[in-house]
Amino acid sequence: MLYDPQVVEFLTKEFVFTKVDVNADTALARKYSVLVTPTMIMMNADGSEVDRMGYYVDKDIFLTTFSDFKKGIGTLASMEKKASTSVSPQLAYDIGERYELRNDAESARKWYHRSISLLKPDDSLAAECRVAMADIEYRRRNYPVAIAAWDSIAVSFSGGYFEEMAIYFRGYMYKKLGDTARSLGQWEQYLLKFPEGSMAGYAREQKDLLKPPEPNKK
Amino acid sequence: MRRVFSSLIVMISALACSLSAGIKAPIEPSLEAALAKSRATGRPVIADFHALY
Repeated sequence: MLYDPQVVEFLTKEFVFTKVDVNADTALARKYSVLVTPTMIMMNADGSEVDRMGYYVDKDIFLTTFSDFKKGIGTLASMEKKASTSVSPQLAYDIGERYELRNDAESARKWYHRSISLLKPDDSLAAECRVAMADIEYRRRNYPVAIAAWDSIAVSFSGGYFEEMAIYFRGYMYKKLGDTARSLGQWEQYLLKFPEGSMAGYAREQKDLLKPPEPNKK
Repeated sequence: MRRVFSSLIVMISALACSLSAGIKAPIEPSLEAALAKSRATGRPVIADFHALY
């Protein structure tokens, strides 16, 4: 994406660009509470953060987002200012997501809960908020808490995409906890319920890996 | 579901590379140098925090 001439010109003319290897410079990564890689942080000359963008994004989103940040549009500060007068469920979710990206779990949870409070329980955005909070626990390696959160999501959104993801993530987290039997159970459940699901191939692979070998038959 | 897919990518492949891998724009050698240049030019800094596996 950043080979793109438009992006190169944008970065060269509008910004000063640098790279930080989070594994080599752990102090800086900690100072800026970098949660995921890659994270692109826009800063003022004194090193104070304007805002950030995480994950992989396409060129147009990248250009639009940082152009907006430069004008003070779409930043966390501007969103919170807007929310001080009127907050929609989506705005609350977006603010929560922004805090999450800053590794501020407490504020993120607060805004996700606020979004949920403005939604019907079966709204897909409410599910997204709950997924986000499960994700916070997963990233903090609070696997039992994350599993419980996914359990609850699976019950509330049974039979659909969110249940599919819940089973998948539980399988993964039980594996992390070293609970092979439960992990295997999740992969089997996944394949039973979603044999054509998007992660069926991976589930099959995991199931084969974890399944105890059959005793030799004579 | 961007977060889910991002997590899946991390989980399955454990391959996260820099968003700016291969960039040809001028890259300041350190954040400190970038901030100094920012003070001189008035342009804000974009720092790409990345991991090389």
